[in-house]
Amino acid sequence: MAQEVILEIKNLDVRYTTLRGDVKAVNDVSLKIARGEVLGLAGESGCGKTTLGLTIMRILPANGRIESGKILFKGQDLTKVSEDDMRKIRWKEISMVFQGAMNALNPVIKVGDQVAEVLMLHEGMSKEEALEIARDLFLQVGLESGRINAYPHQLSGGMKQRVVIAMALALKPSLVIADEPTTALDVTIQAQIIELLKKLQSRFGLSFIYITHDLAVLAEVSNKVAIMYAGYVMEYGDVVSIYKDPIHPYTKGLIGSVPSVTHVKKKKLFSIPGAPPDLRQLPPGCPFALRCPKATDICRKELPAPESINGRIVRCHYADELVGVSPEDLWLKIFEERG
Amino acid sequence: MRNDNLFEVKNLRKWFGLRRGLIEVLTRKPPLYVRAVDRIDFNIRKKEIFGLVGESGSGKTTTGKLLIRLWDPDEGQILFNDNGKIVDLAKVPHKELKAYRKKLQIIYQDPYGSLNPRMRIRDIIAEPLEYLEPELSTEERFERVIKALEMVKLTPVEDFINKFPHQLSGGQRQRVAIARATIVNPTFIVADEPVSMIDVSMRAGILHLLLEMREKLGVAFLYITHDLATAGYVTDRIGVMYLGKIVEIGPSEAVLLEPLHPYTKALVAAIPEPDPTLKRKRMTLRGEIPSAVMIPKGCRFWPRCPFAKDICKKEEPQLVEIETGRFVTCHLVKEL
Repeated sequence: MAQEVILEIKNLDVRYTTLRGDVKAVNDVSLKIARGEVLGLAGESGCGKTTLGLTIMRILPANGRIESGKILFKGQDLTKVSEDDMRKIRWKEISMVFQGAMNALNPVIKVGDQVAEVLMLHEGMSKEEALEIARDLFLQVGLESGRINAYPHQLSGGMKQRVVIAMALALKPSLVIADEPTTALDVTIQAQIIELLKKLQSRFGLSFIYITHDLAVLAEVSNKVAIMYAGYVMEYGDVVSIYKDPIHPYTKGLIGSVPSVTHVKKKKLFSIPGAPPDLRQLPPGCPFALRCPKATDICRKELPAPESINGRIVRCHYADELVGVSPEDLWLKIFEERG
Repeated sequence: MRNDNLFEVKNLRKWFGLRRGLIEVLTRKPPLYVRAVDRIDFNIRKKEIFGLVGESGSGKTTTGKLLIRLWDPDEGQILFNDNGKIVDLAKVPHKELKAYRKKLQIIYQDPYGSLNPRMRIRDIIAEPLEYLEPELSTEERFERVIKALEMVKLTPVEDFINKFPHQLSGGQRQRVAIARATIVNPTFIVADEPVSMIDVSMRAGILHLLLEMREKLGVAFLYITHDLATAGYVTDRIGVMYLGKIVEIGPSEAVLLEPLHPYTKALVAAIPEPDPTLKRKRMTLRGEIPSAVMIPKGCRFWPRCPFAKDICKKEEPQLVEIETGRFVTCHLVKEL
């Protein structure tokens, strides 16, 4: 594909300093996003997906730092730009829909004013001009323009989420990072918001990084998927091929644990025994070795390098052997043994 | 009461009064109610896993808490088959409820909030025994704790008994909550969103545990969830709730694969499928669930229903059996 790459992450490492040692939150992550593409970031809680989003925005908490690596946005390395320059990129070029943001709206300010504030601060608009644009934005995200005069408590969860999306779009960014944008919403509202994001993506040629733990949602929204575990990208590639033939044992496990409505009782679900490792003391080898049915000595000693296979990047010593092995064949037996 | 029924719920109602200000009282404004559960009928069979699904605010949790009398119903019957003896739990006085606590248990949604952080796992699991079976000796009690931990597969047991909840993962904590609920050998457990706060990779383990409890201990469950996909996986039958009413009841597979009520249809269509090649026609519902204080006249669903006709705005439909075992409240079900 000759699409223009707008964001390229190269060998990124992010650390959090804590009293009990460094937390290795993001490890050797390399990803690319083209214009108009939706990259889904999936993984369990604590796998580093939110940290990755915060790092791209350069808004890590005070104890977080970029240890090494590059984040090339339209050719510019975001790990190197000064805070002043970053302020011009942040929100204008890359914006974010934060997890639970709908509950972070200021309760005593009208939602329209909160959206307008973005425009006044960044674009130096007058309040009237900004409100005019806010009205427009509201229409685009499926709210009546009169709602700019509402206070957050007068809106439902789904409407507040639309306001937050309007805010993220206010400066016409080219990349939006959406962190669990539908997790707290009911399914019927989640469906509405997903439709909205898809519509916005195709209308404005927006690129999205969609962060979620819900693989069923990712199957619907994304073009490419990166599966993260313990800060590493374990498998990365085109959405259809990953869901059809997941290669990495962890991806196989995750996909096998998602129930499907259209095959209600036909699919036997399983879960992955054990829990993710402590990110302060990652084991020397593959971080997934402890839970992996395929693991051998080499997995416990040596960290596998990301390897290109069938158009995908996979981090596993046994990637070649695992192509075409169904999740059930790999996991069912071990799940039934260990529960 | 049918012999294979564990519960028969009839005309069950629970309204919560809203607080009224002084002026509203003085001007004699009529009091307002949140009509959380508004006259529902359903049965749960022995050893059945019955799913109650719906969006937030539809009354699922209130129904669950009414069944085990954590709330007192305003009206209606909760007939409970207590080993052949039929009791109306709705009428049991508070003082006599303790006798039923051993039989009726609950697992809460949030294993981070439902376990006391300052108690060790062994004490958390043993606590119900202290109240409900005080005659046990310390050794007998310890024996039961070990068995309960083995049942929920927190093994080797010695790795867990002396730990505190914060030392366990979400999935392990929920297993502790399940062990605590099952240690008194109940006949019925309300499982209120037991997997919604647990990482996907560990959910199936918890679901299989529920299935196993039913097999080995003969426990029946009320599985409350907003997630139709997991409900389809573990339940035998499903009831769909909307604004305090059950709008559809039927065998799980039938309800999910051929939903009859327009709301169920929309709910099923809204569930994302883990298959990127699938391009389903999506039926997106207008608007959101209205407040349970201002319930629309006629069918509660008509303002959001794409098929609504005049009759729907005037008359509230009743729960009717369309095919054997399939109940729906919809005027238009024959046409659809």
